[in-house]
Amino acid sequence: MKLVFLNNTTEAKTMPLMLTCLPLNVSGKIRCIYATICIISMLFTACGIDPNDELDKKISVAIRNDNKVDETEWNAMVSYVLINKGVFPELVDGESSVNFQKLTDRIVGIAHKRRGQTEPDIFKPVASAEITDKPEVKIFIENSGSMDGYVRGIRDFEIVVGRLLVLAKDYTSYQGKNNFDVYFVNKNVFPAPEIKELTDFANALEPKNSIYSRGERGESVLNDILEIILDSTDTNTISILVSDCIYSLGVTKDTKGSLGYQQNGTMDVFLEKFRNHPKRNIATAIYKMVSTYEGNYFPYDYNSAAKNSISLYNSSATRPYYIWMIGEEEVLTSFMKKINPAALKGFRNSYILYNFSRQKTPDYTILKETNVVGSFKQAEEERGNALVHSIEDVEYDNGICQFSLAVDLSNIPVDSSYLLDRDNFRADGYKVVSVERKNRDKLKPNEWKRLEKTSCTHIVTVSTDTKSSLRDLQLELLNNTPAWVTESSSMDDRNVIAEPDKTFGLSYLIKGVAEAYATHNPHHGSYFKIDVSVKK
Amino acid sequence: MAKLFVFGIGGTGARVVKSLVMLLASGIKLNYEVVPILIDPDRAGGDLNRTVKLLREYQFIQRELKDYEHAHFFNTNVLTLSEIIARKGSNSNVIDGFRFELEGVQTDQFKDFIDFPNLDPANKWFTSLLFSEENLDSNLEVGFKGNPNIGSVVLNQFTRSEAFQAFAASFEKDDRIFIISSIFGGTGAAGFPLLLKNIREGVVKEQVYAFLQEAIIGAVTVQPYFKVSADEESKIDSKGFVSKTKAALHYYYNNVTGNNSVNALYYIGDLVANEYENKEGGGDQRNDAHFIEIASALAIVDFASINSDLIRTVEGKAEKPLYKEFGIKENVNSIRFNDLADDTAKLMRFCMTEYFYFNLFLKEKLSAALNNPYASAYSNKIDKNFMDQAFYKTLTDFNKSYRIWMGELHRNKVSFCPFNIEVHTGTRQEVTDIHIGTESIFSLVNGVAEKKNWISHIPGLDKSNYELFIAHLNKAAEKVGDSTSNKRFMGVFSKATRSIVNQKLF
Amino acid sequence: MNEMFAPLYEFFHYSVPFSDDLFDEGVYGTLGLYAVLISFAFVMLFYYVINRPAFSRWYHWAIILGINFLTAFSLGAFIPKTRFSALGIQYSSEYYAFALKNALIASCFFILLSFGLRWWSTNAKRTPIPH
Repeated sequence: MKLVFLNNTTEAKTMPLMLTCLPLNVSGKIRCIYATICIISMLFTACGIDPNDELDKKISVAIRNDNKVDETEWNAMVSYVLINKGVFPELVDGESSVNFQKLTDRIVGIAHKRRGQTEPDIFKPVASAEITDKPEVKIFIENSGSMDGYVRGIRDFEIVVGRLLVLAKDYTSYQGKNNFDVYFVNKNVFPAPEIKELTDFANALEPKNSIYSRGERGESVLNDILEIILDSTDTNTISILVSDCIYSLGVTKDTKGSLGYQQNGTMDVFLEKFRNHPKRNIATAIYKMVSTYEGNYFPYDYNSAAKNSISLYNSSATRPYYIWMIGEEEVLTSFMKKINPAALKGFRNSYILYNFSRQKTPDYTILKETNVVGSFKQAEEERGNALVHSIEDVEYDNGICQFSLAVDLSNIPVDSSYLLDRDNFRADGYKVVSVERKNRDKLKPNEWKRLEKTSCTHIVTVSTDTKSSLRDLQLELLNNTPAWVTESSSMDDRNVIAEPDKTFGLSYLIKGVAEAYATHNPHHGSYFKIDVSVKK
Repeated sequence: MAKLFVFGIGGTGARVVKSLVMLLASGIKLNYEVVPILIDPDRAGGDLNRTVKLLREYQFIQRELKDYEHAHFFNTNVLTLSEIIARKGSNSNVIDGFRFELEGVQTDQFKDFIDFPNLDPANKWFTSLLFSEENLDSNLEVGFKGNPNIGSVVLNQFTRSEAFQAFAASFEKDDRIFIISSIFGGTGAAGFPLLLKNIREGVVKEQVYAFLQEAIIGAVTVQPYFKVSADEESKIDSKGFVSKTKAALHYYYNNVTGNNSVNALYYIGDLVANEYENKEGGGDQRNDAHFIEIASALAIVDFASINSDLIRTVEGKAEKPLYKEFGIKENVNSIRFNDLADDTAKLMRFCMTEYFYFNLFLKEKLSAALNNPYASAYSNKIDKNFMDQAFYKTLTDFNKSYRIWMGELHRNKVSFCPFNIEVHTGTRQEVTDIHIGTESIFSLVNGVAEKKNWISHIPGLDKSNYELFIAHLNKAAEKVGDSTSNKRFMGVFSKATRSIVNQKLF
Repeated sequence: MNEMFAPLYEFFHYSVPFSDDLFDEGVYGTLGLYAVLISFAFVMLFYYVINRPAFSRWYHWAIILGINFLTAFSLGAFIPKTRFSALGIQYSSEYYAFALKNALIASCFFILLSFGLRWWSTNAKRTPIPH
């Protein structure tokens, strides 16, 4: 009887041996049964790809030849681990980096199992630049007259700023030294070293307190303040500005024009900084906070003669103020991981501007069962991958094809509300139908399980129809000025009581900064671009 | 291959030749080509006709299997004398039907045969001394009715016939001769010494045939083993069998054994227990087959196997003649394989049992078992078509005769019953067929238990009976391979019956 | 193994995302292998282990085919079910439709292997269709 071997494994080679071990006088029938059992048991063991085995195999192959793991082999292993990171949770740090030590340990473990093998020489990837020096932090507190309302008595403002100081002190302490400074800023910058040591911060910040009321408190020219702050921001410096961010226009009848003028000034301030330091990568984070306010409000047309300030005393009023953080992008990013104003009391919105020098594509996958109209299949060559990045065999249902992507938006430096606004997304040839946070109730249980294995946080649903020709999907998260900016901006702050959450001219201020960035980065219009291959 | 001329004289000769044919069909092999020559004036003799028909069927079947190594049934060549002569080139139709035609016996009475009326008075008186009135008046058509005195005269003509001359001419150096006769009958008792004398003279019509003179001759002389029922109408009276035997033996003493004419003489007989119907020849003289006839046929087999060095003829005389008797192990009335002497059993049991199962399968199972691989998986199929053809039909007839023969042996006394069979009889008490009463076909050999292995004790797990047979047939068919349907058929069954007998019986 | 059998299975049955889950968990490979091996075992059983003249008609062969079918059906429902349940993936009626297709595929293997391997069987080489 001829026996056909299905795969040429080492088990297959032992087969004839097993057969010949039968004594010759055993009847033909029993040999048939025996042979059948041998084949079956062998082939069972020789199938099924177990990722753990695959990885170990890769490691074995790498060290078998030359007892070295070079860069190519290392990178291959790393990408294998990352693609199947669900299987190797112990080897993966965070969302997309492989723990060097753990992988090395695994390689060494396998090497030790082989006889006579010395320690293999393993490629050490260059660790991403870690900030070894602690940065210095400068905190600038605007103390012009318009800020009095935020510090009179015990206000949220004081509590937040106090906390910021404590956190900054902690962040910058290194070998007994704290590398942070506090300044009051109005027309000029006035260092306030006593504030650093103060324990009773809230009481120290009072309009009448001498520590607080230094300098020329009558006026604040925002653009000048910004210029001073930008100048003092070095490569390893983080500058924090706390201010109410109101342009002072001077006497004017044309608020719009005047605001536009101010906007240009702001833009110029930033552009100059960019020009002077072309190699630097400065990021700016703006946080809108809200605090209780006890004091007078000075509208844009205030003049002391007319005494047309608006009283907000004893009215449980709240007013917005802004925390700006400016620094080198990497430094700022690390800093913001530890000290995030979004966690502070009164936080409302944020807007982060940066140069998009390192645009990282977030993890994403196409969901197979959610919000699907029409039908499609995962691309043949991708089958087996946990993350679906290409689809084919797309079919329309009534002229529409719709599907959803799950995207990991946890690291996008934007307001969470920004992410839920579908106008901030763009996909050429497709319509962005909705963006929502992943919700267990809205997903099928299997889909939820699948989703849990990834780090995706949001579901973006897109659709296309037969009117536009089928093309690959490129989903972008645009770098728009967030909606809250416009919503928080007032054109006429004489209505301050009616608009407790708006700041006069805010949109011009922030647009000024945004345009400076846009001018500096004409090509970077989006936070990320996701590519999905879509084929007929 | 050398030839063995077998002369069967009278009814006994015909029956022994029949037994021989059955044995040859079963697969007993002689290293000779057998040329049977039957001599009997009783043309319509039932036994004679049966034998001749059987011989013709045997030939037909055997011709299909010539030299086919896989078949061991019908292994030996059987030829008529005219075929022998035709082989040598000359054309002749002497004895083309296995039977020597005696002339002048069709209508004559004996006295006409010897031309009694035209004898002169002295011869007439002398003649009447030798022959009684009855003798002279006997009608020769049905043989000599137990009167060797008549027989010897009439048969003499054989030795002057063209047939005898042709026989003498075709006799070659290594050929042998065997003569079968009964010592108590009419034809045989006379014919045997006559034939012997003429062969030893070796002169026919003034021509000397040297090979003939030096021929190695064997003979079996069958002594009484049955009676005929008393019948006043009949001239045959078995009470005279013994005395006639004694008279004949005296004669043989001087003219057969005494003068070393014969190289090997086989004696056989039995206590008389059987009684047959008293039929004076003709179609009705058809006695049931008897075991003695098989034993006599075995004498021929034995004779054919004796080494030539042991039985040489020198100057027309047998140098060291052999005299043999036949015995069995147990003195029983129903003889089975175990009761035979070991050599006899060894010779017979495989062949007979194999043929028995072959016969059985063809009768009971073949037409229902045609869609198994042995029959239909080869280009020459065994199918309904095959079963309609002459070969198969002849074989079926032969097998029927074989079964009847077995039935007759079974119900005779002494009974030869190696197999447990039921005998069916017809309206005139003749055996018409045999039947098997059980499904476990391997328990049919009397005295031999079916061999069982451990698997067969688990019900359902092992193949048994006909299924096992078919399995053996399938396996045998694979070994035999492809061939003409007739050959393949016989080859498959030969091999299969052998392997199954081996596995299940002995 | 999985990649080898996947096209065969998906030719008969493809539904998103059940089929993708089957692929991702390597079920195609496992079931395909079982289908081939078990069919092979049954073929060997019928033609060489049993190998009896009394059990070599076409309907006897069909009985073995039926047993093979049922075995494949059970495995085709059981294996995906247990694997998916262990991973928390849920389906219901898809299992049975798929099991049916698996049984059909196994039957195809059985038939092919029957015709390919029967030639050396002494008693059953003409089953089910004489040659």
